Amino acid sequence: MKSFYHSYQSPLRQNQSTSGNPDISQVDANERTTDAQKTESIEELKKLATKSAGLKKQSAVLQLCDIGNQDAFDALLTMLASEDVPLRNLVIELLAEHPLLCEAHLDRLTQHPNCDVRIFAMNILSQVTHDDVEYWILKALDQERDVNVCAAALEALDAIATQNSEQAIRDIKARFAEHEFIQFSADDLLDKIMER
Amino acid sequence: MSNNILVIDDASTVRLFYRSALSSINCAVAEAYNGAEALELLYKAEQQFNLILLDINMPQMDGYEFLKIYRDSELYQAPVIMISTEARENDAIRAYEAGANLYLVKPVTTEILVTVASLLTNNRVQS
Amino acid sequence: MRFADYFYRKTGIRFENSKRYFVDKRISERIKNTNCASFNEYFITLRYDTTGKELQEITNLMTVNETYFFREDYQFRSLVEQMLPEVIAKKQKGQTIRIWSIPSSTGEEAYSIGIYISEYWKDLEHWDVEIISSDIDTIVLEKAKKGIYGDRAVANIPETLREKYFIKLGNDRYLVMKELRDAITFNQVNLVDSGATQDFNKMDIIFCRNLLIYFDNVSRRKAAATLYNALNENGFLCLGHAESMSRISSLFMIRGLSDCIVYQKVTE
Repeated sequence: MKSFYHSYQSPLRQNQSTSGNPDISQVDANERTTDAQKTESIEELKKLATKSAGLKKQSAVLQLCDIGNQDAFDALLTMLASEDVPLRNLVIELLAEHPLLCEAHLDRLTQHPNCDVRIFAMNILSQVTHDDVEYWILKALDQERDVNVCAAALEALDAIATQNSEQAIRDIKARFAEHEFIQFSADDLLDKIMER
Repeated sequence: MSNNILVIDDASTVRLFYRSALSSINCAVAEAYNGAEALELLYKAEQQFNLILLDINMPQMDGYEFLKIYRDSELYQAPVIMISTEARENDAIRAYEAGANLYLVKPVTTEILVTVASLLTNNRVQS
Repeated sequence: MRFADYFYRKTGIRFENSKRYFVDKRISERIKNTNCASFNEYFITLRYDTTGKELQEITNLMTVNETYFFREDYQFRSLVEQMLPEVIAKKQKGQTIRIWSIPSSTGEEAYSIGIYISEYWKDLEHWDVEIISSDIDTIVLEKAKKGIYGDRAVANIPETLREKYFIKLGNDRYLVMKELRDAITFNQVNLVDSGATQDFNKMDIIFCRNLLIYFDNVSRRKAAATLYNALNENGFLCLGHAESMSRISSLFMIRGLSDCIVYQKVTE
């Protein structure tokens, strides 16, 4: 590579740079990881996701998504329930990119005993691209008694709700008749469905 | 003079609700999707903000991180109301320790929003 | 498989429905030029072309961009007044400063950076600066290397600088002077192909303006990771003025400089 020196009056200076060599340590952190890391156990990935930062953290969570079995998903749920905000946000973001993984573990995600996790589940579903997302949300809503989970579900339905959602939205309105915000967002959503 | 209020929440319905609720007092509402977008908006903004309504759980940059950066920066000027779903006693304490002027638990009503917004911006509620 | 899905998988570029007309027009052009009888025949040709030549051709067509010199030049002002001084404060004498301009398109941005640094950065005499400019599109790269522009592209450059850095050809065309052309390295890269971007590293400042808007969420996240990896500690990333990293990634720290917002790689 050439270097740029004050070029107008003077000839270009010779390149003295040694920075053209690829830095091997950075290379593979980008997407997924090296073969050596692929063999890491779920426990190790959990530790890595919790203790590291930046792209290493991202890579560990991605690998758990790739493994995708019961244990890996349990690990992801534990992270969703944790107080580690960057980790939680990463899990939300990356699960949203894995619709089939969400589908495979849908009930454990949407019926988690912790209502914060159920809110995050709705945040995830609001970003997932899958033909059945509306149905998944409605199914989760059916039994839901927490007002903020329902609010998150209405938000998740915002972009995708069809006529199929109408009855469920009216049920929510009735279930939380005393909650101004639920009435507001349910009415807003019903208007949108009518326009669609 | 009208007040400028910045609403930071990832849920568009929540932002719309706050906007609609605050329409009864004399104010202009700006919206941001998360803490990072709010910081960008504040850096670019020509107007000064009198009040910030801040959600806690948001993608990329949550309310706590935003508040920490905001309070340590030259941008800091407006009081901050944190509004979140987290209703445990600890959550309120944590919010105050982080520098929030007020902590409210979701969902909030128009009445409460208008009252606290008026108090914190020294604005009279118009009847 | 749909063309849009195939194209997305290969390039990371997703087309909105609003671009449908644009996409159809470009594909028709390629069907004609490859002598295919139908879209299906063309699509098969494209997918089974092991040389990758046709994919490159259609990619070139799909990523046409209009640009001009000194576009959004408040960022270049920030570059010489704030970013470069911060960069050299953390560098040893003798180390090179690396600046990456991506997508290069036909080179206006990279040359503008070169002119700005040469004209307005007073510390240049003490430092070596490398400017690398990359694009997925090989045809625009060839144009960039040639460095010939119409009068519209150079309209924003002050007269004195135009005279200083360009040679006026006939027909209102301008040739970038050789020293400036030689000072910039143009090369091809696909930002969402992590294998292809691994040689792009140790950058101090990256300009990546109006590229992420072409990507969908997954590709944006990958691109953000690639840009992050390519940066040195404390390095800066500049996006287009209507773009933001705030919904894409939390990897970067947001910095409000006097003229613009930039993203910084800070690892504590």
